[in-house]
Amino acid sequence: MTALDLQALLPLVLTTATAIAVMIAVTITRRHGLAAWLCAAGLAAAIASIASARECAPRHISDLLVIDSFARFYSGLILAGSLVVAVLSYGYLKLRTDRHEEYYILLPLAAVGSLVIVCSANLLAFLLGLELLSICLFALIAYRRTGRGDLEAAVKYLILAGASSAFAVFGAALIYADRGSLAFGPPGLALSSPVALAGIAALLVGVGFKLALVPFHFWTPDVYQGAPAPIAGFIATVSKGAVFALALRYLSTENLLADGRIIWLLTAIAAASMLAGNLLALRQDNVKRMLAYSSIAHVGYLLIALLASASLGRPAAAIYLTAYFLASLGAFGVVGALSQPTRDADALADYRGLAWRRPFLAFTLTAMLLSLAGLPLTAGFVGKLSLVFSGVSSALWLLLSALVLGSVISIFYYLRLLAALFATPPASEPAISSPNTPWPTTAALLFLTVALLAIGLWPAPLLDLIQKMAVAAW
Amino acid sequence: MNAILGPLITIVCVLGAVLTLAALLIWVERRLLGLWQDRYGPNRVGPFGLLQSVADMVKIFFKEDWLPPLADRAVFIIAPGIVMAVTLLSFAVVPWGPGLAVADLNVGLLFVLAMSSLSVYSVALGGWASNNKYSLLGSLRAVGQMISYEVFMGLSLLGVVLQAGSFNLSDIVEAQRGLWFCLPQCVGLGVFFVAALAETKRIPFDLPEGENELVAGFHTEYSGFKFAMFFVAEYIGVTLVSALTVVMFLGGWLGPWLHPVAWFAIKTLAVIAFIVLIRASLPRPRYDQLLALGWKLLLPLALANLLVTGAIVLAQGE
Amino acid sequence: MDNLDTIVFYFLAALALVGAMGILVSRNIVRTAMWLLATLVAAAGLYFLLGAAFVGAIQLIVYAGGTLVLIIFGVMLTAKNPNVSYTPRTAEIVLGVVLCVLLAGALIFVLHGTAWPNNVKSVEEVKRMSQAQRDLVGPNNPDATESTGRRFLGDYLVPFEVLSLVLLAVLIGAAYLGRPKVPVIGAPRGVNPPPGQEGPRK
Repeated sequence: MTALDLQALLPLVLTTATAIAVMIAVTITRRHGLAAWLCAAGLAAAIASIASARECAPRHISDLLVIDSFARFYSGLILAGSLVVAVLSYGYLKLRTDRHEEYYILLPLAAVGSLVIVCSANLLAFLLGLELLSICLFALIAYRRTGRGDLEAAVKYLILAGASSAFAVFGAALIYADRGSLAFGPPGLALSSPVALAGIAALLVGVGFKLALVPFHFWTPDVYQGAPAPIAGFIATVSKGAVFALALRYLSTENLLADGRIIWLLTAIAAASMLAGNLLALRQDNVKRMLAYSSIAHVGYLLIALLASASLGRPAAAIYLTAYFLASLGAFGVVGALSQPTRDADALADYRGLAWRRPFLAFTLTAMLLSLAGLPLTAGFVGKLSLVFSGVSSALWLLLSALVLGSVISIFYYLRLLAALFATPPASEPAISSPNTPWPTTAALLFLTVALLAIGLWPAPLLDLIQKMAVAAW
Repeated sequence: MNAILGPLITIVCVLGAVLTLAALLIWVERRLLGLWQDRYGPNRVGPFGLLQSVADMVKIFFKEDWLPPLADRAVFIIAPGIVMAVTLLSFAVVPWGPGLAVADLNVGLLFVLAMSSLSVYSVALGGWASNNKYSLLGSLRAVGQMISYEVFMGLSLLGVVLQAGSFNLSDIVEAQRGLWFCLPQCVGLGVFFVAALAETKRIPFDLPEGENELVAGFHTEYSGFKFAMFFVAEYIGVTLVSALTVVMFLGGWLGPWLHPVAWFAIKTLAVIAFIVLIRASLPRPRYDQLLALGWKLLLPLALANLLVTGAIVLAQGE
Repeated sequence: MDNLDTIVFYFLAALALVGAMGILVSRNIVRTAMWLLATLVAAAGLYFLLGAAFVGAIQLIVYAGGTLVLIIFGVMLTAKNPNVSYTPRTAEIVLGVVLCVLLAGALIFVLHGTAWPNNVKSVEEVKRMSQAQRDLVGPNNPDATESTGRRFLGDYLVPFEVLSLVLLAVLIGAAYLGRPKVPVIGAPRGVNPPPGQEGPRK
């Protein structure tokens, strides 16, 4: 452990320190504002520290973790996502729970878990990060403790996450049995042995669960519906983003795409996720469930980047994921901001005529939905465009047609919600009398909207950054 | 052949010694209690009442071996066996003299701790299988108490492990050649002793039995030989924690003039007598007091002790 | 002695398998936990047999304690009738059996089709080796306790600390979720449970 190692690990260390600082603050005085500020400041400091780690990358820490530019890019994305979730949570929690402070301990810890996943160069580190992330999420999902759906969601997530972790651990054990090491790579070795292949298949179950890919997606709508809106956003973005980055790194380090069977399997999963996610979302009147199904489809789209050639696939994944982070967090942020103390605003009726009552929230949600649908002028368009490019360059025609089909279907249900937003307000009392939006929530939503539109209008800086960071070889 | 015969003889000797001692202890305890409480204690059967335990055993063997009708039969029968088995297994790693242990395990201490955590099952399952609310309450209490106190027991011993640099019980004894660990590790000794009393479910920590509230606690429904197993296992447990105290803190077999095994026996008996004295003098706390004592006093103490010991060992090693 | 090792191995393996089957078959939650205990203890025995005494002892301490907590949960959650049992439907059983057989078949096929390396040392061989040789063998080293500790706090410090964070998260999450509900003062209607349903107060 040298000073340089510590410098490389600084984002991880600072995020951990945030959790501990909040914990110590709680023992001294219980103040919601203090805890939230500490949490946000710590996460912001962690983001800033990523830049300082530039000097020493890439760096291996005890063959379990590796801090390279790829890891740093996704670390930044994760920390930024967690920061936005923390800020959005402030206004959300204020009205809902009797004790808010533990939330701001668990949230950074979940971020640490995601960081460990992103930085892992070894299945052991991946499993550790996965456990930390899952365990924090169990508590965060059930955080309101009202017993109306959220405990059910937490228990469902607990059991299914436990089962999927068991698969992942078993897969890692099989891989260890084959080669006596849990480190990623060297490329091509895994494909030669049936045991390692079985191990990779078992790992896929664990990863597929976290990503909510199609045969493993059953938990998604219930958990999104039951979880507090900001946490649903966290699950949709940070948790998935981290595991996706890991999958990207693992696949290319091991060069698994050299095997036709794995390509075939991933293609089937991706196409199924796109179609099933979008089709299931069509019939949803519950906004949170709709977003849940659409997130299944989005990860399906992302798999195109996974299967495409590295030179175009990796930047496409980074761009798409960034756009998806912005739009999903924004959408769940609006849901949270509209929610009543007793229940989240998840019924379609809650949004009827929103544009006349809460123009800012309606405008934000519109931008987010358009971006999720991938319409021009938004970041989602840039993301989808780069996905298509990477797919075309690798001739993934089946997936591309699924992507087009899925996008067309998705426009239906996004437009359905949009139409509700701009419908004439009902003459009677509005279905939902939501509280005023506190300023941190407004600021966070404003930031998300501006970033979304900025990337949509002028993507060059982001593309440059991604070209520099997320593509570098490891 | 010697490779098998040697250990076999040791095993037989240890088993014989432990079981005899445990039986004898029942008499010793009652006599000592009599002495300290100003009465006679058992003095009718044999010289000084020495054969009292034999008489008790004979009586217990001829009692009806009763199974409660709604009990979970298999679990009910297995439960008392578990505690006997694991407590006796723990003795496998206890060194009676230099080189005199059934198994000189490198992780001897961890093994003892593991066995003591297994012994909780006996109480938990026995109480549950009886299908009796007093038994169940007793066993729930026992589990809460023993899970908690296991933590402090392990932590309090880690200071000794740090100083000795080994989990091997023989090495730990050898490391005390200059100075017994009861002086530098006096905090550890205190915490360990309290935790050990709680682990053996002895007065003042006999809440799982709590005869004034729970009839007889977890073994309310037990009779005959199965009850005897619980009963004797308690005394074997007392012998075990006394022997452990001697090994970890009181220099094990070390001592001048006498044979090492004699020293070990004398020290162990002294600790046993002390445990009996505690029984004779202390009342039973409430359950919440018991847990509060553990988590709010013993845990911080044990952790602080570990921290200081670690710092000192580190400083000396530099 | 190799023979004895083999016999002990098969005994422990059989115990682990019987325990695992028992978990599936028994309908009573406490009995399920007991079978689980048997499996875990058998696994610990296998570690001891392999010369990994440290892992074996830790397996006993950690998992024995963990299973005990499971029993307590079982007893407390089925408190009204300690003999409560759960009866799965026939379709569920059939589906489960089919899945298990498929999985087991795939695993057996895979494990059978693999050429395992032949350079594994037996415990006796390792015991006969000198210290220098033992260090080379690594995981089979019977005196691995010290090197395990050194690695935890040396090379693998970061993952070790991450592990401690996992425990911290468990602690905080459990303490938060297990706390009795306290009504929110000044909260709008509907946030607090209706009077009489608050649950125990401290």
